[in-house]
This record gives sequence, structure tokens and C-alpha cells, in this order.
Amino acid sequence: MHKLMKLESKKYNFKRYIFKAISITLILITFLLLIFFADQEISGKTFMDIHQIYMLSKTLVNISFLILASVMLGRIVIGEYDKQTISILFSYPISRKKLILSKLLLICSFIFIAIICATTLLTSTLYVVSHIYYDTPFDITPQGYWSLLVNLLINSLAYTCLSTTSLYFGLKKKSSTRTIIAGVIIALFLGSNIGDFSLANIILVPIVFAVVGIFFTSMVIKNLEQTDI
Amino acid sequence: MDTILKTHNLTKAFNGVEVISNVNMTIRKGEIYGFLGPNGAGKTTLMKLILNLIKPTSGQIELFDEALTYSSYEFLNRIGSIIETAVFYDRLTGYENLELHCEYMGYHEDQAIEKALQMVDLAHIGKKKVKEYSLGMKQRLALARAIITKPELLILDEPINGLDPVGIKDMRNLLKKLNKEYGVTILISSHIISEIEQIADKIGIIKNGHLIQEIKLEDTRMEMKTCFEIVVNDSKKAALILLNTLNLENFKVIDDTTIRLYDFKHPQTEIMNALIQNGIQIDAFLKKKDSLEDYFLKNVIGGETSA
Repeated sequence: MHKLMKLESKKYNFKRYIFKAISITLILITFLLLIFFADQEISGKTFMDIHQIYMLSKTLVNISFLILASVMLGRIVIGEYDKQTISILFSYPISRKKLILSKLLLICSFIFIAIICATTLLTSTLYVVSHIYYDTPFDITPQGYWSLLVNLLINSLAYTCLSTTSLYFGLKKKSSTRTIIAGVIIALFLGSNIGDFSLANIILVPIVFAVVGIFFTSMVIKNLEQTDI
Repeated sequence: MDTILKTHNLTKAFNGVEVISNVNMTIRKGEIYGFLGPNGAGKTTLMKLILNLIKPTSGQIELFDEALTYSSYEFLNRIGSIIETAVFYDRLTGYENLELHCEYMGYHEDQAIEKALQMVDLAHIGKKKVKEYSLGMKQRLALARAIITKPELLILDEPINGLDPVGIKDMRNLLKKLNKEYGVTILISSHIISEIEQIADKIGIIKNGHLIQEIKLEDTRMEMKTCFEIVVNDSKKAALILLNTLNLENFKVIDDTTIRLYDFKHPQTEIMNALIQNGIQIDAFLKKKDSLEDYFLKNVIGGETSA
């Protein structure tokens, strides 16, 4: 599987996606900083504590990277169907399931790491800025630190799984545009998870998302062997 | 293993319409099997069925002595193929595409890529990306990709598509060489009858998804008759002369100026004299052999021009 993922990465220019991920992160940082500095009164209410800024960063990152994931799925998976190179790929002595799974794993690993890095970056930036400009800067206790970290990991995993859902819808019509549109819709509806740091929010919702993602992916993988190319 | 491929009542339907119906074909090891048929007859579909890219609606395919199932894929490393127009990863060079191919096939041999490129006359493509290739170059690269892993079976769908006459001759020679020297079994489809004629041992004729005939080329050669082809100024008048003066019936009027005579009882000079003396102008008098094209048109398309 590892070898397959490596072969996949040779086919596509991953630097491009890294560049896109960095650009998205920078845009989001700029956006947040603008809110922060625009109006001290409003921002005072928006950025109350570390949890709030974390929630805000998390939401923005989730939405953006969910869409980026569907763009990547559109190009890396659906793109092979589009260009007919899928008929070459499926004429190799490797199970179709493994071939498509290797693509998915490659994209998911990328998105997972990207979400973690971006959320951390966003939250840290605001944290640092708050120390410089606020009279009462955000504070974080060691326990708080750990709970945030755990939440970050669970959140990233859940959204990474969820992002593969758009593939199911795009594959039906073998259209990468449809994949992206599905991704945007899912991102806008499910991306915002703003609310309290309640138990349901931390555990239940991410699990549901992960399950949904895995469910749709398994539907895609299951049908591969019966499909005609 | 004497037979490489055998199909039993192979049928494929798309949306209820049968495009392949009850095909029973056999390809023996070391054979060059030519698929002949008009456009849309089902040649490409059949080839895709063999490669398991398309799944049959009913019937069975036996490849390398094993029945194909939905999930079969291991047999694919014994096959090299070109299906429809050759596609590649355009952003990469020809060399990189072949590298990827070898990795996926699990084929690791030193210099295999260089050798394959040399065999198809693409040795100096250098760092050119495939998106900059001409159609002929892509076809050659496709052939290189098909043969590079030294497969037991080559499945080629209209491989001379896009090649110039030199390219066609080179490919024909390469395929013959692979067949004779390495024992590669080849399944090749084309609508260019003369090409198939020069290379195939056995021919499968496909029309509307049915395999109408499967014949060994040596058998057709016996059926393809030798004849005298006479080009005259008035074939109808000449025909009457042959009938009345020489009592010859075994001939065919091809068109206004051509007659084919299948009777050799009378020597050439006698026939020529009979015609000339009756005012027929002879433009040409040749001894000719039916080509596969004539055989094909006669027996398959089913049109016979009669006297």
C-alpha cells in the first residue's frame, strides 16, 4: 500500500497542493487578524477566551480544507476516469480496491496533517497577538492545553474522513465538478461546529462524521469491481 | 497449455442492448489472431472483456487455463495491451510513464525501458513530456508499454492507427519477430484487411457482436482462387463471346470493363484470340489471386456480382 501511495504521488505534482494549503492558511490568518484589529469592541466580544478562538479557527480550517480535499479527490481520483488513464490503471495486476484506496489514503494523510497544522497555526497566531495587544490576554492552563490537543486530533480525523464523502457523489457521474460542489455543500452544512465545548460536541459529532465518511467510502470501494470501464 | 484464451457463449449487453452475442472464440498459444470487422462490430468491447475492464452479462472467459471472475486481476501481468487511443500521464515523460508501468506490473529488469524504446524506434525521446508527442509517437510509446514486460499475450486494438507507412511496416516486423522469436501470442484488431492478411494465422470475423467465422488463414488461401483477370472495353460483349464461342461458364463480370475467369482449360492465347477476333479490345490480361479483401467482401458482407 505504501508503495502504491508513492507511485500515486509521482503522477501528481504535490508541491502544488502544499502551496495551496499554505495559501489558504495565510488567507485565513489574515482574515482573523482583520477581525481582531478592525474593531476592538466587537473583537473583544468575539475573542473571549482561548476556547473561542480555537473554535473559530477550527471551523474556518474545516470548511476550507474540506473543499480542498474534494478538489484533490476530483483531480486525483475522478481525473483518471476523465482522462481514461483509469483503463490503464485497472489493467494492472493489482486489485482495484487497493488502487483507489491508495489514492484516498494519500489525500487523507495530506489533509489530516494540513488541518492539524493550519488549526494550530491559526490558534497560536491569535494567542500570540492577544498577548501583545490585549490587557487581559488569553490564558491557557496545562490541562486546557491537553484537552485542546485531544480535541484537535479527533476533529482533524473526523473531518478528514468526512471529506471523502464528496467522492461518492462525484463518482456517480464521473465528474470532478460534481465532487467539488458536493464538497462545498458538505463543508458549509457540517463545517461549522460552533457551540459549547460540550461532551456531545467533542465525542459524538466527530464520531458521526467519521462514520458517515467511512460509510460512503466503502460504498465507493465496494462497487469498483462490478463497474465497467 | 495449448489454448491461451477460450470464450464460452460470451455475451455483453449495455442497457438491454446486446453488443456481444454468444461469442465462442479460441486462441492457441503462439498464434497471431486477427479480429476483422466493421466499425462498431464489437472488437474493442471483446478486448475489454478479455482484460476484465468490462464484465460479461453472461458466458465465460477462460484465460491461461483459468476462468475469469469479477475480482480476477493477477493474470494481468502476463498481458500487454493497447486499447482504443493510447493514453498516458501527459505531465510525465515517456520514460517516466514506462517506469511507472514497470512498477505497477512488478517488472524489474535493468535496461528494459531502453530496450523497449529502441524496439519501437523512440530511443531518443529524451525529456519530452508526452503531451508534446505526435499521434505516431504516442502509438509507438503505447506499443513499447505493451511489450516492455515481455508478456505472453499481446492484445492490440487497431495498433497501426496514426502510424505512417514506415511505422506500419516496422510494427508489422516487430510483431512478427516477437511472435516467432519469443512465442508471444497476439490478438490484433483492425479494419484494414490487407494488414491483417500479412500477419495473422487465424482470423475471427465479427459483425454486430457476433463472431461469424473463425478461420485459419491457410484454409482461406485454398479457397481464394486464382483467376484470369481480363480488362476489356465491353465486358458484357466479351462475356457473351466467352459463353458462346469458347463454352466457358465459370467466369464473373466484375464491372463494365472487367471479367474474372476461373476456368483454365483453354490457354491464354486462345482466349485472347477469340476476343480480339470478335472485336473486343483487350487492355490487360493478368493471372490473379483473390486477396483476403475479396474473400472478406464475398463471404462476409455477402455481396456477389453476377454475370
